[in-house]
Amino acid sequence: MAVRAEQMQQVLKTLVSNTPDVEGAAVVSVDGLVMSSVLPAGTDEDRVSAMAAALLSLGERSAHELQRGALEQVYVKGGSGYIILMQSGPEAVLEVIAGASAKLGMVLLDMKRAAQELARLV
Amino acid sequence: MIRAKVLVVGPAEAGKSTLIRTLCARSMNLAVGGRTVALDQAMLYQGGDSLLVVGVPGQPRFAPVREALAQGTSALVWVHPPGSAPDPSTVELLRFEPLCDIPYVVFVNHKGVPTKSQPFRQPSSLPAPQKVFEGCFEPRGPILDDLESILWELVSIPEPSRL
Repeated sequence: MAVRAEQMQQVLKTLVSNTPDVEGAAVVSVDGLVMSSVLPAGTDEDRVSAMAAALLSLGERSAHELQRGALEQVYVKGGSGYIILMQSGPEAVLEVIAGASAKLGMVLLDMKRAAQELARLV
Repeated sequence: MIRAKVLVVGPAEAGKSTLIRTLCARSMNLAVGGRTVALDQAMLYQGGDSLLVVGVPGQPRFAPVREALAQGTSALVWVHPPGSAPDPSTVELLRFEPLCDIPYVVFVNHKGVPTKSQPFRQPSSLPAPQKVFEGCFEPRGPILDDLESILWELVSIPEPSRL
């Protein structure tokens, strides 16, 4: 269990350090509990995790209601950057925060790889 | 024409989703493993008037979701398990803007189990509820008709008169 937690932490650290403008990442259970996180200091990871679960759930239902197929990503853009959620296996969500100048294509590509790795560890 | 929002609050497992489902057959529940993680939603209609009923997730860690859902609320239903102390998360939510001046009713939910009646202990930090209901939601009976009536009344009161 501890080894898995360390491995998850390593995947997140790699994602944050190797992807330009990615400022933090967390893997959260679909019911809103943080599994591992590399978030900026001062971030309340419990609140962030609960909101991620709620956003994912709303995204899934919206995609279903509007017949957009299975949810792949939830994307929020604020004045100072992005919040992106991506399913990581059936039990978890990968959440990334990125700066306003982030190249979204690159972020999404790196997130997809990380989400696949994390799904094997959850 | 009334278009108003009623928020259903209370601790986890109190029966908020059941209440909303029983009030309106066409309700939506966003849950994981039977626990609400985002919200419940239903619409009630009366003539040309409509009431949006929104249920919050009750687990303590969903406080930020509750705070977001509280915006624009006109009346509250507090679902309360019998015999227990008032849920601190709910009291906290009701003490501050935007809910502190919003009229509320309490529903002590017996969940179909005969329970020795224990009066709802109103927290000293909150104003008195407009009414305290006691019973169970399912199957829908006169008690939910009464609840629905009082909700329509509460959202019809012009805001300054509530204070």
